[in-house]
Amino acid sequence: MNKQIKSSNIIPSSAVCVLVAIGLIVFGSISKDIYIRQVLSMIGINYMLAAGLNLLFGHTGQISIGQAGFYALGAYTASCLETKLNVPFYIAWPSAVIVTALIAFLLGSRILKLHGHYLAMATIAFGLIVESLTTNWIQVFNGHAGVYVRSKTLIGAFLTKNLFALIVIFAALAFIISNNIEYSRIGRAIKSVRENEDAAMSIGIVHSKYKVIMFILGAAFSAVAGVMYAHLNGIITPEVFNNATSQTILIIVVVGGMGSNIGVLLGAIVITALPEFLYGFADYNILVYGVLVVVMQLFFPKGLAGMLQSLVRIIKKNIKKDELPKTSEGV
Amino acid sequence: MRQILIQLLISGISAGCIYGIISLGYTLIYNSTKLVNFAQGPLVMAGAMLAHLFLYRMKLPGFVGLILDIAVLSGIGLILKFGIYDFLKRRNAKEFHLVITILACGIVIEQVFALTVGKQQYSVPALFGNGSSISFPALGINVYPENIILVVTTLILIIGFYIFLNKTRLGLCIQAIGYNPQAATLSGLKTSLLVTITFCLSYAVSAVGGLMIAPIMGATSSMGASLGIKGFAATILGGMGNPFAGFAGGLILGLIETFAAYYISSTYSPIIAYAILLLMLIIKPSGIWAEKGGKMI
Repeated sequence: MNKQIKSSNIIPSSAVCVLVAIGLIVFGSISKDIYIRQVLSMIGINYMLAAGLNLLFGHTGQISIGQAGFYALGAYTASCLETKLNVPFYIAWPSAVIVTALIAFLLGSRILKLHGHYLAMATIAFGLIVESLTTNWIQVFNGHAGVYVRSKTLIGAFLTKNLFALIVIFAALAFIISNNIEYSRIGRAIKSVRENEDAAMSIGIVHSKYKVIMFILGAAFSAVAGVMYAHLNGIITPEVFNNATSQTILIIVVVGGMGSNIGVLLGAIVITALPEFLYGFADYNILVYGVLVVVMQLFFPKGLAGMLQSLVRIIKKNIKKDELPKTSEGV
Repeated sequence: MRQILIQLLISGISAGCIYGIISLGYTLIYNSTKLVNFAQGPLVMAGAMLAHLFLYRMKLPGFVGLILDIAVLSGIGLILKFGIYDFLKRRNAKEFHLVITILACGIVIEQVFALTVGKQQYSVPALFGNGSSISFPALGINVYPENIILVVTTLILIIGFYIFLNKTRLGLCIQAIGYNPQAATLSGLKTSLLVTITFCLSYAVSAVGGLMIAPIMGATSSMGASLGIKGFAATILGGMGNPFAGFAGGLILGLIETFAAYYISSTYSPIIAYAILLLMLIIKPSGIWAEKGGKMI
């Protein structure tokens, strides 16, 4: 019964998402405030990254601490194609996503047989390999000097000017796709894989297939985020895509709430906006993140989404108290 | 030519010992809890930074610094064991909750040192000697005393812990709780106490490791991440759960890295360790010398 109620939520929440997206785009085209637009764009990009990891980690239960590797692949493929080879954006952007997805397929089909710690280490190793390559392979990636990003075609320049709207659209798409996956057949399959692989296998869910699909989807989301970041910033350097970024993406998912789309959106907003409030204490950023994760893991393992849910439950209980004296509630 | 070869061999072996000593830290905790300690890198960094504080800034004698270093890190081990590990285990948290929490603890440790001590690279004096190298005219090479100390200490630690784990009662108990915690508890072993002991031992090894590594590499707050990964690469290469296997993996990794840096290219040498880790995890995650009776990963 619970599931039916939930699945009827898809269309309203998607509609709300579309409305919010339209509102943001209108706001972005009217507002002259570059600062707010920049912060909102970064929230969108971080949300895309986290939504990709959430599909893999939150829903399927497979940890990855190397998402920045895919982020970098997307950003570097698109900008190297556009700037160095003069490829128009409508070829460069899709090929960035396809190249990243292909690498994710090759990697994922090999490493997703690993569990827990080993998978975490394998993905860290992948992220570090990409980071070292982008730093040291100077002929292609320009090392620490970075790659400038220029869209030379006519529509490309137009898009680059209106990048905020594009980021909002892609983030909204990421939200809708994650939402649809969550309540679909695949969503139920990956949840069963997360809870118990052997049990899932026994009812005919080939877990390796679903794990790889989610790994590829997560990588594709990251690649789109990478393309957007490259065009937003105009230059990309390896430091943006280092191990700490992978950890930050994981932190967003964990703080927001594993397996909850709205939670991850909340997490992206909190983690991206936090440095803006801690402006005078820029050095303390990462320390605050670390402490936040430890506290959340110890006391609120379901993250911000879990806190929100229990808040809603308490309010509902208080309202219903007079009508329905319910004693046994499933947890 | 022969001199270069010997010099490379020496630096390869000393890099291998660094990885071996980090790998020992992983192995100890893995043996008793089947947990990979994701804070291993930051802990070794903490050992190195504390060595800088005690030996360089406070100018304490070497052994006092060593004991203080071990004491502080064992204290951190106790905090992590009672504050985090027990707390999460009591709640029956899943494996990845532990992974993330310990990873975050590593980040916190790293940031605390970066903010209190500083972010530059700091020098640490060696435990013995006056900082000049010892030359061997017969071979035509120079060896720094810190390298000799590192190699000797690593060998002592590896052999000591091998004997401790396999020949003493306490060591066997520690391995028993790793194989089957329920059965071990039923046979009357004090699981919590034994896990506490291994946490302290592993963190003490990290302290010693940090103190040995610091005179060679210097101490930076950001050195933890790469050391932790390379140490884990050594552990995976050799095999989890056996001190000798991790040490051998470390030696192989150190030698490959040093020779590749000289003969191929020094810019790509960090990639080699990561690539070996990834390849080993893909091809044979149980390592070259796989642990007996260990579960398939």
